[in-house]
Amino acid sequence: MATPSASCLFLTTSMADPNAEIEGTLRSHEREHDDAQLVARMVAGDERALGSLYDIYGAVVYGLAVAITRNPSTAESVVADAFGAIWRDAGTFDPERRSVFAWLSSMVRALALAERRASAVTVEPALPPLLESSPVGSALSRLSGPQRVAIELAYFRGLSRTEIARELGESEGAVGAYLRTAMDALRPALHPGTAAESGPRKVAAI
Amino acid sequence: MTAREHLDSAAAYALGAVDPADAAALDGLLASDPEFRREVERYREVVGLMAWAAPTVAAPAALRQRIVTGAQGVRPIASAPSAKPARRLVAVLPWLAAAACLGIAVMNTGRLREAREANGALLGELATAQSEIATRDSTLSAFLGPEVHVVSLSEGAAKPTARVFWNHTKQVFIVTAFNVPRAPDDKTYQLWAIAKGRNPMSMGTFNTDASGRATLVVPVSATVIEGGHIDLCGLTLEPRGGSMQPTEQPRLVGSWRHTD
Repeated sequence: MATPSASCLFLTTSMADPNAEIEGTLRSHEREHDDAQLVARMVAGDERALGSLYDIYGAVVYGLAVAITRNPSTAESVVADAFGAIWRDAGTFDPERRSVFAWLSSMVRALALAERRASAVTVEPALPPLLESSPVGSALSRLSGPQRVAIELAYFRGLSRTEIARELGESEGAVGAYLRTAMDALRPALHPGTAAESGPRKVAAI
Repeated sequence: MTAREHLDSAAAYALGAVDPADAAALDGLLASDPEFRREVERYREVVGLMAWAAPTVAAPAALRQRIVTGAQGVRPIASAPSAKPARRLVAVLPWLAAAACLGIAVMNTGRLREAREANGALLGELATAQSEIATRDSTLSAFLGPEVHVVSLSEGAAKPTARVFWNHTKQVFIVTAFNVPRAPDDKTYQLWAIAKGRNPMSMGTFNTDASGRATLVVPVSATVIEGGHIDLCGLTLEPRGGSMQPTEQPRLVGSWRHTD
């Protein structure tokens, strides 16, 4: 297995208009029932549905895998394994519990973090740049410095509260609050209809 | 735990950012506290959608074909013929339980409401447990397929144990250790692949956390792959950084067996 190096660079996108591609992908995300139908077709053994799911989310989750592993070759294997797991376990998917994209990206993140831990990175490269043109990236960019760093360390490097506290020189309790307030701030960006629901939690923001 | 700490823990748990020492307690809370479970589910959806913040990268052109071709040799779990009866049984069981509860309740109408509430709670817990199992299965199934070998290392009747899974497709070892005392700072645990007539081959080093637990994924070295066959697996305590060959008798040892 190749070991990521600090000189590893992100691939550049070859898309003619990345923003249009992203917006198109976001619209696909909003049509969650279409995703669920793709999964239903996968359960029936339709491999074309798996290809369609890849066409919609492949670039996004590959970008996520590269951001975590910092190694394009490892990222490719991670994405292939994740789609393989999604295909194999399609019958266990519960659309009432989570979206197809959340299911897929969680799988990619878990596998990528496992590869990252196994690769014994000795020199930590900087955190990946965020895609601020996306609603989530935009919401992340509006967080306070410690909140943003804390959630990026947890999400992209898989660090625990204790490890993040050590990195930031803060208490574990403060880090826990950073993570929670950051996620509360992200929730309305992900689900516009939940702003009122998350309101009381904002009172507790630090 | 205060309400605020409760929410902090739910967010960290959903992110996978809790320390192993806290994880066991939060696992228990997840099973017993519906409100905590709801919060964790809400935060998990946020975690799942955070991937949109990562820079989009054009994947290699061959990746799509690799994925679709890989699927052609694998049948999705739910479409396997043997899966349907099991699923039907799982679906019927809660209704049988409900019918039983209601039948008893008719004998004492004062208990009807209690029975319904208890039944509803049980069905909710069952649904949550099934969802949790499905999620964990998704991860574990990558490691527990027929192409996987496993070895259990033990110290006889003593408590420390370890299990090593060898996934031949991914060429990784997945190591889980329990009740193995944390090694001192100047030491490390080292795993060894042992084949008759050959020197032990290092499989990697690790340390446990304060609770004596460790879970790690270790790439299989070229030496082990080329050797092809392993009889035993052993665990020794070595100087920090590991040793070329074991410097002590294995503290834990076990023989390989196939999972299927």
